[in-house]
Amino acid sequence: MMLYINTVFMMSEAPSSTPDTLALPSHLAAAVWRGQHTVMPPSRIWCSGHAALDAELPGGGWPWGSLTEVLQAQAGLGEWRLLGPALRAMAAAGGRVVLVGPPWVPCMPALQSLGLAPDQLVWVATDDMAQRLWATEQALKAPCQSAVLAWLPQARAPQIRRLHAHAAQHAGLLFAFRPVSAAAQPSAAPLRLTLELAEAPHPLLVHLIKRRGPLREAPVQLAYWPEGVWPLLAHAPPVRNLPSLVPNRIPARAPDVALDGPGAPTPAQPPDRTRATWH
Amino acid sequence: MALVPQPLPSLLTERAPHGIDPTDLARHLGWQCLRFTPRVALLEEAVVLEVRASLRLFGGWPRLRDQVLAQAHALCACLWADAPTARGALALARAGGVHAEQPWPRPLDALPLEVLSAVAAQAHTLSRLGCRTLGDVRKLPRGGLSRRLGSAVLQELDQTWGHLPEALDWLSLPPRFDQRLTLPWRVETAPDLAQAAAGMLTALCAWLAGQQAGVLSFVLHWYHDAIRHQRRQGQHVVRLAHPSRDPAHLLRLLREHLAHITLDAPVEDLRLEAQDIVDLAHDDGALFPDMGPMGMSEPGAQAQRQQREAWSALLEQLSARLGADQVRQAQLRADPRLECAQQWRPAVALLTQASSQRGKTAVSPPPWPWPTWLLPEPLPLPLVTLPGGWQEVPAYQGPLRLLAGPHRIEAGWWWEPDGRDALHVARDYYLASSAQAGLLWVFRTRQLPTDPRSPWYLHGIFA
Repeated sequence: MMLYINTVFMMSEAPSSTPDTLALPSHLAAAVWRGQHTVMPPSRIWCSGHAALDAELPGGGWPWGSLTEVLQAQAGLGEWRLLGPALRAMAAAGGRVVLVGPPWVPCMPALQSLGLAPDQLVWVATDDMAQRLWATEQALKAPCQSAVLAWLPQARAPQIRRLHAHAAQHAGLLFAFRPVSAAAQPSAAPLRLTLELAEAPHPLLVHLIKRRGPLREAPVQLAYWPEGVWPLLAHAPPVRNLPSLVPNRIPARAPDVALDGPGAPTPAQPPDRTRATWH
Repeated sequence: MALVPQPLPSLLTERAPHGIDPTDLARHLGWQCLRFTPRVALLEEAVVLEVRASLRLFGGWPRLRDQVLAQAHALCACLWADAPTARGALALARAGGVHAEQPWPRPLDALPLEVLSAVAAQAHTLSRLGCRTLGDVRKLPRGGLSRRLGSAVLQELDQTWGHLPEALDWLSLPPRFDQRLTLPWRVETAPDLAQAAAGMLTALCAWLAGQQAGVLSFVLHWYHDAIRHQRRQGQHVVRLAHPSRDPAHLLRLLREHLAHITLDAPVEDLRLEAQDIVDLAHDDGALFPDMGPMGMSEPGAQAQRQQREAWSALLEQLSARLGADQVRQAQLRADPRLECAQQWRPAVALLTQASSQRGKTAVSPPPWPWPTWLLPEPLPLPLVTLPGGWQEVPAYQGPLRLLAGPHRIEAGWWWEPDGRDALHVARDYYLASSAQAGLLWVFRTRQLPTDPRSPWYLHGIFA
């Protein structure tokens, strides 16, 4: 693991003009991996639908039959936006989508406009970690083409490795959603990325923290707002209390404010159970 | 054509509690083969098939042979041979499955005496006469042979060579599948019953294959120790969304079902009964496999059917362990209220009715963007005052900025207050943006809010 990372560091710092001096026969050149280039994935890829992201993913898309980790500070930060085009293509090809333990209720009418039919999506609702892992494994073992999205906040490294091994026989995509704190732990997933929202209009920042290829420091920017939002903004009547003085960086914890009068504090934060933060 | 099933090695038979009787094994093999021809018979320990009439239907001898053997090997190991007569094929199969290139009946002459049972009974006498092979016996004078050893030897030889007609007792499928098994020892826990029932499930699948059918529901009955327990028996019904005759799938399902059951007392006997049977075509008849250029399944009809079957098998398996309510699929309704526009129902229940109602549930997607995640209950949002001191805005992980709205929804007031759809909604929806949580779908209720301090609720997240 460490050796691999070090190798990538060294190669990414090497000057990029050297390799042409070393002309190899074509059959040898195909077999030699150079550190500056992303590696060809072993089998095949599934186009992610975002051109900017495809350019950075090894092979040009999501790896087929392999585990991809998506790390988020909290659920609800653009996961459908990231995966939507790939899932739409999957549904169009007759594949299915399995959600294992999503944080909230999926809204089918909205997913329908993403291109998923109601009978192509199944929601496996279970809070137990062992059952989630089991259900994910069964979905991987089933010989049907599918994209499996599993929310695994407490999964440990051996369990992730096991899922990755099962994914090799799976005809489809596997995404595991984990907290950002998992970024520090080693993982068997060949592709790991974190999702983050920038300031309004909230471009989605995708950091590729692990891939088969050189490190990329700068995040990939994707649009976050759905297309349908822009016309609403253009035609909306001026909103009454649109605050123009909102500071750019809002403190995570807003100050307590008394609304009804002095001495009646209001919780500035919603109750914890509904925030669906990772624990 | 003759198939001689080989009994399992003794090690396996001892370990498995469902050690199958060889005659039962031959009968199950025969049931399976009824799919290929109606003329299947049990001849001594073997299964013989009259396949001449079926050759054209199955596309010639090599294809038919491969299908028969593939199916037979799924059940047990067996030796096989083909010959114009049933006993001839049996003799060749017993000799180890001889497939000589010589024309019939030349290969028979070289076979040892033991391969035909009437001849084997007289093998001692015949060997003293200098006979080592069947050919030697046939060279003996017929008159003397029949006088000394009885007519049975001559009759069997003539039937084998095809000089006399053979009378075979053709096998027929029992109209109902109902098998009982006495367990070799008492089984105390329900999951162990699945292992014991595995043999019966294999028999069930052979029976189904014989009539080209699949099972929709089957019942496992168990009978307790009569002395120790008052309630003498129990049962469990396993229902499938799609007909199947795959023993591995049925066993997996049964195992998941039995994992939830506690037995009242040790079990002595098991009974397996097939309840609902429907026709199910075989899937190995396709001429070309539906493989695309990259080795991936293209939307060919057969590949689609396989995918559908695999999908419903997966849903059944998940529902069996987690509970049917935990594995959900959505049903859409044209309703402006977010709560009522979709209904999550058990996926297995939808699978069975999907084929009949698929056309009805087509609801066009909404023209404006809807949030992709919904909160199970709208979450009350507190109000905060902005730094200016004169504006109050709702807050969710920091103050929200309202981008567009209001989008007024008022519905449901015409229902009875305690009816199924009784959700009176009078809300102004806004598109809001939060620095931490992204784009949100919040509303301001026009009814009496649950929290008197703030009429704002968070309802969905545009993830």
